[in-house]
Amino acid sequence: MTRILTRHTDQPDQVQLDVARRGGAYQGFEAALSRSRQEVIQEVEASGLRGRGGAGFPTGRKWSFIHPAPDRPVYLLCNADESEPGTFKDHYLLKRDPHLVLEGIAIAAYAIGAHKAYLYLRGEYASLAMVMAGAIEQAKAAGILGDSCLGSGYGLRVSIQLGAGAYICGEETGLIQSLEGRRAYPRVRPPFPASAGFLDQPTVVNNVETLANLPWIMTEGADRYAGVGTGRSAGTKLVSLSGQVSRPGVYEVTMGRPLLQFLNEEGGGMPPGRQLKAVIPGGTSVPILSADEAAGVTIDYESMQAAGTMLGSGGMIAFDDTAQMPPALLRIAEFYAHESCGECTPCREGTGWMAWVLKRLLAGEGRVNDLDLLLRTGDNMEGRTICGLGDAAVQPVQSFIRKFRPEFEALLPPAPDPSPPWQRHGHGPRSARMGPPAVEAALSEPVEGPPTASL
Amino acid sequence: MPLVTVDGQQIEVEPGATIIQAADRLGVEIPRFCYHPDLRPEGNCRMCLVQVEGFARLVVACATPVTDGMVVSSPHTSAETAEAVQGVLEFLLINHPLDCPICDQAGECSLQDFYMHPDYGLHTSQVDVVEKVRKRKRIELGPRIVLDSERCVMCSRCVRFSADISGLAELQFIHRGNRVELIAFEDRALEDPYAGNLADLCPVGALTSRDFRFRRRVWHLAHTDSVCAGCSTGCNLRIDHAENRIERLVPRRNPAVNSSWICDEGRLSYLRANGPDRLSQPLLSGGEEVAWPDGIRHAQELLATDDASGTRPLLALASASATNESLLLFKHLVTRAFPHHRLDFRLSQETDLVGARQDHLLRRWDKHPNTMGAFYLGFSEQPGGLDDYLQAAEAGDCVALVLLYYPPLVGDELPPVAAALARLLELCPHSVVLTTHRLPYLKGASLSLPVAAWAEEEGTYTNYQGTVQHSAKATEPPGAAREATAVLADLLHTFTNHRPSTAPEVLFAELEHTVAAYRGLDYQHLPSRLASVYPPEGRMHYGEEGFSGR
Amino acid sequence: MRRLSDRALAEIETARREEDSARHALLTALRVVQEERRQVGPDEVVQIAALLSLSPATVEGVARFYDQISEEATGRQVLSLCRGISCQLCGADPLAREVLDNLGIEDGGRTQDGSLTVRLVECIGNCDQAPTGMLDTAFVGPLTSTVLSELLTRWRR
Ligand SMILES: Cc1cc2nc3c(=O)[nH]c(=O)nc-3n(C[C@H](O)[C@H](O)[C@H](O)COP(=O)(O)O)c2cc1C
Ligand code: SF4
Ligand code: SF4
Ligand code: SF4
Ligand code: FES
Ligand code: FES
Repeated sequence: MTRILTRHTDQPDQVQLDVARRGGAYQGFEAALSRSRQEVIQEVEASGLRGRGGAGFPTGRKWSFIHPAPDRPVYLLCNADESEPGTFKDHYLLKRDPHLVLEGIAIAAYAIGAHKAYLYLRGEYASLAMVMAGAIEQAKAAGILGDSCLGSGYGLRVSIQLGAGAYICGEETGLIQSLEGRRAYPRVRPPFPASAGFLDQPTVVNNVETLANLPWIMTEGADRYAGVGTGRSAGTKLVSLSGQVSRPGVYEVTMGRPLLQFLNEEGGGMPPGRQLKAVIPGGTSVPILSADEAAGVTIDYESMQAAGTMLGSGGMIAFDDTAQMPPALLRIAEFYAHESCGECTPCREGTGWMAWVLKRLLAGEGRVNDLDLLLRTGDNMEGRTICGLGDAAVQPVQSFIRKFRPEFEALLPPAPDPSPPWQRHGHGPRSARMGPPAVEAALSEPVEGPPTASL
Repeated sequence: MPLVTVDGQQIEVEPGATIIQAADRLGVEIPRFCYHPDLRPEGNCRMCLVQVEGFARLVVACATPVTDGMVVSSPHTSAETAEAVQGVLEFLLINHPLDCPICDQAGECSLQDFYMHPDYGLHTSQVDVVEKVRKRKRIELGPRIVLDSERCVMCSRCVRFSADISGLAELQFIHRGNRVELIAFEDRALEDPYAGNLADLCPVGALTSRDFRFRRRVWHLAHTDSVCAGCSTGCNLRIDHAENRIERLVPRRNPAVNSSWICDEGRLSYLRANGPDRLSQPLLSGGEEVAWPDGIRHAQELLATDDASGTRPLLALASASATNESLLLFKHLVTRAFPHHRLDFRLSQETDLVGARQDHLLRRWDKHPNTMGAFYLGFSEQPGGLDDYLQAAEAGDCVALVLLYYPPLVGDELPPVAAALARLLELCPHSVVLTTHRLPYLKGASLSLPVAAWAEEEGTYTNYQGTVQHSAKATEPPGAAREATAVLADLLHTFTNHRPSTAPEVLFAELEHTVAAYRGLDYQHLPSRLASVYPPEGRMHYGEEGFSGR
Repeated sequence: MRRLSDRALAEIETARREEDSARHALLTALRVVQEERRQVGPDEVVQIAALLSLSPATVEGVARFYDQISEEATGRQVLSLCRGISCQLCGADPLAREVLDNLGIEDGGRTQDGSLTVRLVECIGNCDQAPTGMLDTAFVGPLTSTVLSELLTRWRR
């Protein structure tokens, strides 16, 4: 397979500029600088590269919306907030090949006419800020960054901004707000960042992995890149694999690779004696696939979409047959309730409410119609929020319940007895609620869910 | 110009206008919490979701610009939209306390109104919440405003007002998700001189006014549109009153004058206008109260002489807080009955600063609502000022004095002019003062005649921009006090045998006819902005030695 | 009011010069102060507000948005235990319970001597080391009972 992103990530001392340069670092930037910015944009458009931050928007197209004007500085913001549960690919790249990321930043900045770029790193990646700061210093000292990058006359400064613990700072307008020193409340669009972003200036936000593809595209050419992968999914994808799997880790996968094959080969299959029950293919914000559904899926945008889910961030989480879906879903729902920024009504109230109903259900205090209530709550949120977090929060709730409904139904109280009270057996009124012990029992008994596929 | 269709009605709007603006102009009511015409749109409440033909998702009307040919359906006509709005309402109620019976906002609460709405209201809700997120209640943020953060719907209107309009940024949200809560840092009292607006713009009962709380349920109030007489800005407002008492003043939107805001002093100006120290009966210097016919007779005696002209040389001073109509009759009285007169309105140094701002928003140093009106009426033909008149009086060159006086409704109770006026009255043995209040510094008047205060008479003021605005009558003057125009008409009749009309529209028609700046204005269509604005904003010089600015 | 150190002031000043808008330095200021004081409480809010010419409410609003900026002082060290979904699938919950019980504190609490704060946090982007966590800024994992008690004994010394 073609390695685009992980060619040097196993190289010891790759963080050192001279080592990285021996491996070809900054040749892509040099190639870019020898062309006009429009030519670079066209090249990237032709490569078919799509954003790896989750939405999959064509990168070259996004850049083409930028119209630099003398009085309006352009900004490039590299999104390294990486907080989608199950995602740690950017972590991997930043730590193991910081110069690759920096080179990607430089190429993108040049293409959009930015002379200032920020790397927005989630607060938890403070240790990586050291690595990146070192890389920036080395590049500056070597004349790669600065007033005249590689002697071209093009100037670029790159700064690092560390976040302070909030998932919403990964959403592009939340990131901009955070960087401006505001509460990271996403902005209603229009205007889009391309016309009014950071400090109301034209701004592009790109994911770390997206940018890391650029050096290769610059040196090898758009055609070669477009030839890797399938259809509208060009190139490779970093998959961060975690959960109940033998060899969790970050793997570079050519687009179009069968999912189960990947799980079995790179991932080493399920832990001994276990079978795959389900898999979340692209971070918790995308619908879960039952093992059956996963069987036909390949790792690319189209196949994921056809299966009713998304490639997302490439954060793949495996569930084996010991996994219990209701507590897993509660955990995920709590994540969104915790991370909803609280700006818009449906998400602020909906995320908290879904988590609360799930918690009540798991505490044995569910209501007969709770599952429908949860589904309906999601319908009321989806498509009606300011940013994608609202939609994201709905996906796990609806897909878990729809695909593993019996496990959730087992937690519900029995339907009210339709017979009149005087005909009922037993003593005293029947409790409409289920006590916690019953829930324990329900959870420990094997529950009939969708059949699990063997790997 | 883009043409848009909302619920089947078409309208052309300027490029960049949003759907909600188009709908508002068409009279299609789109529910909203966070949208406010004078605040930056944030699109957070999601109440204004509408359907646009060809769009996959609903969009927010408040932040989506209209494009040509757009076809929009509001919750009144689209079931999908109505359902979405119901969904939003349901979400809002999850953590909203069940306070309505004890909430001050009842009757003016958007949440309550929307909840009951026949098209998208919530008639059945599946949400039965046992545990609501608890927040803090009844936090007093200074003398004006009380915060109940449990009732807050997080629309951020107040946050945006505080940060972008008044600029002090005293309110902010803390935390995230459904734990978001509105706070003032350490519950500090708000320093904002415009804080009162917060209670008006809060769509629910989260920020309420301490002045008005629990006084009267809003549905008992009558409303009268008017303008503020607190300073030369002339903010548009609404007088809410009941049983001949003003209960509160709330801003009325006028983008050309005050947007949607008024200052706190202006908001409370009615308290001073209606204060306990009102003069309610004609009063002689000895303290004797007399009936009106006697009062007018006394005035005649005080100002008449036996010489050929029949009247004494007169110093005539009128406060620039009088309406244009009162000033017109005042001028007629002085010019027609007193061949020897000096006419002036320049009672205080503040008048120099007619256009000068006190702050970045609305307040101006000039606390007279009608300085420009007096100026246009030619009240300061000769150079001079109160100090000159005082000097003359000190020098024994004393003349008769007529004073039409309104104390300032905002700012210091004792205006800078008080001492000079007191001294002048002391020196003039023949003084007739028309005043709203019984003021210690007017004690020296030979005769005091009670006149109606602001909101007790109808008329016009010309604000610092030269905008002529209508000031309405909401309540009756106290006791025997009468409108200044009526008293002046009596005096005119006494001295000239001619009784002018006191109908404001008749007086205004004369103004329109005689004052060049008002040509073409129509009393029925005020406020109107004059074509030529004089002076340009800033300091004002008039007369050679006149009033140079500070 | 305890004043910020010169070093902290200098760092904030550097951030302030980065862009035209002083406000932009707020996030960095919050981080710097949190690191120095282990909290951003009312005293700190007032000082940052004065430095950046912002209102205290503005600073408070931003400070209380982020999980890593705390109103109450944390211990000298902070142990963050991930409770994210991947870690949960790998047994994070009982492990966290064990740590908290051993220390006799709850989520977000500080040990009695005030030196260690333990927090349960959302996914920290280290899921292949699940169950994982961080001791201050260093990733630790995969965590087991043994690893954790080793970590805590070392910390006790
Ligand atoms: C709630 C939410 C969280 C997000 N978090 C991230 C993130 O951590 N990293 C990222 O690159 N993109 C994230 N995104 C996507 C960004 O908004 C944006 O689309 C992306 O950074 C664009 O870069 P790309 O075009 O290179 O993918 C998030 C989006 C949403 C709605
Ligand atoms: S969808 Fe959620 S995270 Fe996004 S703006 Fe609304 S409340 Fe905030
Ligand atoms: S207090 Fe009122 S105005 Fe302010 S955010 Fe809450 S609901 Fe909106
Ligand atoms: S600014 Fe002047 S006119 Fe406006 S409300 Fe205040 S006092 Fe009245
Ligand atoms: S009024 Fe449009 S979202 Fe609130
Ligand atoms: S779930 Fe624990 S690090 Fe990602």
